[in-house]
Amino acid sequence: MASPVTQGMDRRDWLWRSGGGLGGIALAWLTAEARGFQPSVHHAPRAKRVVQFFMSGAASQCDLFDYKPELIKRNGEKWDPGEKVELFQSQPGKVMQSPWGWTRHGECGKHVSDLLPNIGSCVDDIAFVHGMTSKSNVHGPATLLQATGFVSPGFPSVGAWVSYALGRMSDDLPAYVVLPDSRGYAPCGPGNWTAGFLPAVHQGTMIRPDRPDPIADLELPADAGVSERADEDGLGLLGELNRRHRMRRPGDDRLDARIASYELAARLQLSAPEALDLAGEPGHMRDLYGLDHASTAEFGRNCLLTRRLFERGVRFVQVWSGADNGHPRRNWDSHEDLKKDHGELGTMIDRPIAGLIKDLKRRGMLDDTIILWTTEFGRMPCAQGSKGRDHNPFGFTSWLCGGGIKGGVSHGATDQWSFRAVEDQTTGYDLHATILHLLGIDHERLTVRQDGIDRRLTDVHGQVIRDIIL
Amino acid sequence: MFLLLAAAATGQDSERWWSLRRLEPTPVPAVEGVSGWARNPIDAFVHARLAEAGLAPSPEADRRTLIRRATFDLHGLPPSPEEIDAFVNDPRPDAFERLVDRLLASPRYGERWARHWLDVAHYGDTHGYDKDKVRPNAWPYRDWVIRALNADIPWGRFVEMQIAGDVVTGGASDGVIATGFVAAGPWDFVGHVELREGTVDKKITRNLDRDDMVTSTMSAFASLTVHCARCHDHKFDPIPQSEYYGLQAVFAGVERANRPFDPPEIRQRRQELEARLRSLESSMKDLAPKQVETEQVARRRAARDAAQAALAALPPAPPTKSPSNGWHSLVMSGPLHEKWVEVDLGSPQVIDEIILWPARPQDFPDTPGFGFPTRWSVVVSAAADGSDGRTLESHLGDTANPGDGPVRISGDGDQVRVIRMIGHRLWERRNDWVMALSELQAMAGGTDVARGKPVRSKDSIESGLWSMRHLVDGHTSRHPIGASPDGLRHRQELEAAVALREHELSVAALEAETARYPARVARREQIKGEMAELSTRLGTLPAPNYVYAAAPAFKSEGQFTPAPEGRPRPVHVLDRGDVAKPQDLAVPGALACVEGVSPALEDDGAEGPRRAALARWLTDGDNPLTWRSVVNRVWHHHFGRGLVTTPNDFGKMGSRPSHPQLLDWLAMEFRDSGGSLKALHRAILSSAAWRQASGHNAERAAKDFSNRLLWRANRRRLEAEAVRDAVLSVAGTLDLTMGGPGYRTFGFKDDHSPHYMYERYDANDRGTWRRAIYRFQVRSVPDPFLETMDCPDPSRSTPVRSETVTALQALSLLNNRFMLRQARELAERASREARDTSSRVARAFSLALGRMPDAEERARMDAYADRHGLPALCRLLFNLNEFLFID
Repeated sequence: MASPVTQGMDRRDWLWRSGGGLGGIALAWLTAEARGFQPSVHHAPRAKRVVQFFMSGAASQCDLFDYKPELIKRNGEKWDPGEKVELFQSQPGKVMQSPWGWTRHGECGKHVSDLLPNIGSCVDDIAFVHGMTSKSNVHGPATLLQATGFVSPGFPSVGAWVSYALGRMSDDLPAYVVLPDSRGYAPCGPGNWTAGFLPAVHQGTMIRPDRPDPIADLELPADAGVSERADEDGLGLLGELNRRHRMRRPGDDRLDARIASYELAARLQLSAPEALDLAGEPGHMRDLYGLDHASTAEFGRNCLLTRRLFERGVRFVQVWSGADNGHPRRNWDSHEDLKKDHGELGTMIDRPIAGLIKDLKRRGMLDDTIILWTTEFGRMPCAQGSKGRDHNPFGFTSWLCGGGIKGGVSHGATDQWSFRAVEDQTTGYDLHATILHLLGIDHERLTVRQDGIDRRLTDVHGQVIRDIIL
Repeated sequence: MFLLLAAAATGQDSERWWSLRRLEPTPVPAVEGVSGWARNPIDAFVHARLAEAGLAPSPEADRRTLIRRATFDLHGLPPSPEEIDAFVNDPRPDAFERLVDRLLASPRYGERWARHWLDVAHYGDTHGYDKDKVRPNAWPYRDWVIRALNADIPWGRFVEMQIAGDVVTGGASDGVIATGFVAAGPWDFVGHVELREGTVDKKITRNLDRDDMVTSTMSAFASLTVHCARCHDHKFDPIPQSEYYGLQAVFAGVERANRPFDPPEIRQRRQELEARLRSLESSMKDLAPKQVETEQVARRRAARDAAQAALAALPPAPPTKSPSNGWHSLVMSGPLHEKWVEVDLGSPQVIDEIILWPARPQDFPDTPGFGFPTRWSVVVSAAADGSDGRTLESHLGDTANPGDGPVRISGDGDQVRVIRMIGHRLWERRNDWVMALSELQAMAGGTDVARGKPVRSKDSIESGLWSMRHLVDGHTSRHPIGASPDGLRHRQELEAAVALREHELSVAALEAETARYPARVARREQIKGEMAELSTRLGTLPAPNYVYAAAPAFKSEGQFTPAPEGRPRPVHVLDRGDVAKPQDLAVPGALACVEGVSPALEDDGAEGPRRAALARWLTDGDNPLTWRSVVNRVWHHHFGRGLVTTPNDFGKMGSRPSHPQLLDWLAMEFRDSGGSLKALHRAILSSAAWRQASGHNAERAAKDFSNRLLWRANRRRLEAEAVRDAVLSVAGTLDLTMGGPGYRTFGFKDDHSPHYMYERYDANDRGTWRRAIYRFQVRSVPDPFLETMDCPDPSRSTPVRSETVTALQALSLLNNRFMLRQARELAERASREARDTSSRVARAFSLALGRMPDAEERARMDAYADRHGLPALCRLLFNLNEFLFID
């Protein structure tokens, strides 16, 4: 069967046409089994699943991964980068060194902040991208840019594109799962995991493990006045009535797809609670992810869940650290007190993320799983007030790991201040192109026509970052 | 594709693209051998294409199917069993036409079709983007669309009202409201309100905002993708970048903002009163005071002149507004945290007085004394490090809030270098605690020696109008502080003196004039009295309502201000769409590629006429796009697919029409018969093409599987809103109240970024059992139930909804609390309306599906209802394919 991706054709059109002879238009995109679990790719993939860690609020490159001795040497001096600097909400203050020290890690000897010793211990598996830049200096548009490739709302997210291109690997769970920060949504909220103009089946399914109903409407409420037995018998009767209706209406696969959707729903009801139940995880796993420390318990749980979801066939997981802007701070937007806010959040993510890397590696899953750590932009090397940092869209750091990524390398660089990307500048488009490439997809050929434009995840941009690929 | 590109680039596009060609009269094909099938000219066109492809149409659907299809098409609701029976048994030859007339006359029609239009307009009740704040005055536009559709106003009027209704109606309320279209899309609060004028990001924000206005207007009314020409000439359609920016210039004088309007009766009264006031003002011109010079007048004039001279001798008055709020601590979750802020004077000196000015922030509900701690002290020190501090003032028990203050503390005659104010018990904001202060002055010999000196604090939010440096910037939160407070008082005294002398002079002049011209003065005093009375009456008229619409003038908010003097801001063509690379100034204009209409727009540099001119260009009878666009949209919603399947794109990247002659014939008929949508609905619904059955035919499917040529009707799945409306209607709980602010299906908590919490929605709240068109539509956080059913994100225009089938849909329809509650309601309704289980089952079934169950269905359902109860059965009815799909 011709693959929709190789033909650069709208999947909907393709299914519409192929459905005529083969039976299963709607069914084909409803169930993975109907498609034989075979993704359609442009070239041999290196990876088949992705986790995107999103540090909402703008995590500071010069306090985490972008080591600059100049900041230590000139700490407290007037900052003069040799140009007029237009900041988001303040005037440039003095040069400010990181409140944390730096330690060299691994065989590659990479400097990582002492705030992140556990991630530091994984540097030989990580490719750092230090020349990141963003088109926008405002949280909302910049977050959308990293999550969807566009600064305006309404475009499909990375996970939705991946789901659209590759479909799912299991019929028991959705292809694309989102684990938001329990304190609230990042700027633009679910707009960051929307299907946009792609079919709704590709939107991220939100799982909120801290709630009594982690997936909305998954279970029949206990007080619904409908017994479990009535529910079970009801599905039988529903199927029967729907099949009678269907018999009199041949040639419309949507009707079959809806009948099948109830069977899939029943499978999801069985598999989701099992996937979310961590009771069977042994003590050393809880320890690896930091589940028993208050500061790391939530993020650790989300990282461990990510591994469990991957094991059960989920293709794309988006994990959020940081909620909306509000007081007191509950995200990485450390305008006022970097040491306090970055300190708490860094501790929160360090052990859990390193735990996931090590766990996947031990299970042999790191080879075909891409880990992307990203944020919407960086922070200034100078102080805002006395203890904070303002936004910096001119240079920041993202990193990748696993799934065909070279370990122990750094790509691109900022100037001596960690202010501007001066070497191998990269953008979110390049990260997205690279991820699609590793999944076997040519980012320029994965298109959907919308309002007169063949839309791509990477718009009209994007270069695969060859230097960091094995 | 490369060929197309090359053709567009070199201008060798010799033949004009189909949609840009003028509308030419199209002969209706002969209807040979189909006289038994064809009902009107539409059928002749459809049949001709079918015959070409060797296909034949399907027979007419049965009446039960027709009324269900027509009612969903026109109302988005199911017909009741009684309506179905009445129609099925109506022996009159025009029974169907009567049905259609009845449906079109109902206000449910406007509610249904407004939903389609608002999808295109991408209407929302919040701003979108990251803060996604509430847009409380959006709904009057939504209600106007419903009213306009129900009133069947001509399409040309519908178009021009939405682009320039305020201009073309001279400010009538409906005209102002209708421009809500221009403002319907998302709006970047941070970019507009918080970013400083002149910054790059501000320019980007404004460029993208106007882009949305242009995109909306041209996609919705002309089905063109002009937005593809923002960064370069359109790659596929003959639209140069300069014309794109010409369209941006049309909207360069308006922003999205709240705009006042009066209801019609108030507007009439206001206009009457203002007209009378104006006429009295003009009579006053003839009664201007006559100068009569007397000794007393001369004396008093001299006194007035002296007072004015004294005032003029003062140095110029400082500006009256403040650029800042002051200093603000971090926000705490309890009151008992110590906060401090201090000023370092640079050298030890003797201070006469310390003056503390409490804050009263400009961007917070008006609160004098904001952030002033209830327990506080002031400590001073002669050492730079504050090591030998001594307390000047201390309030360790709770004190009353000083309001605007200021609070004055006398110096102790000793040396002071650092002045620190400490808050021991913080001020309660909204369930949280802060300390704030707008200004700290240290007066020495009449001079504020703290001005501009370094400030330190325990912590500071350093955000927006708050900063440590604003503590010593010479301004309270509201106004500048004179170099000495006495100076300000002195100015006020002199101003009062001038006013007094002026008054005395006018009294003397009037006395002198009265003595000489008593009748003239009496007449003038009478008119003055009448004018005062009119002004009072104007003042007692109810305050205007507001609509979120295209606004040339509005109340500024932070950095978001109207264009200066109401003139459109200059718009430049931008190289690669980059705001940092402005090229030529853009000239307001329309598109040259459209045959039959001139792209030139009248422009005198004023704001309103530009939009009115664009509206005239669009509604010109010779503009082929407008008329093709609208009939295609209507067709799309009646057949499940447009003649052009890309209703927002008639360009080369869109699809070509399946029936080009039919499209043009419909467009011209529609245009020439006055642009009546209801007439168009009647024509389409009375065609045999629309009335076909939806049944399958393997032989025809082999030739045209997707039914592009319409050999049968398309079976359609209900859209998200129609599912919800139908559930309520079937359950008998649908509240048909029209209009007003949207009902909310979420819990709400306001914050920097408001929280929309759908998990807090109470499905038992009857106030939410209204038609879904009246739902409060949040942009960033969609309603999960409707989203699962493919309700689109209103961030972007949605001409065609996607239709998916997912496991999550099945779960929502089975387990969502709204669905479960309505299943119980349906069970109760059936119990009221029928006597035993079996007839109750049959009643519920026929309410939901519009037919009686057959014997086998009935037996199975009876058994289930007997065992598990009627509500459990009703829950299943809402999950049937037959409920969700319309044959």
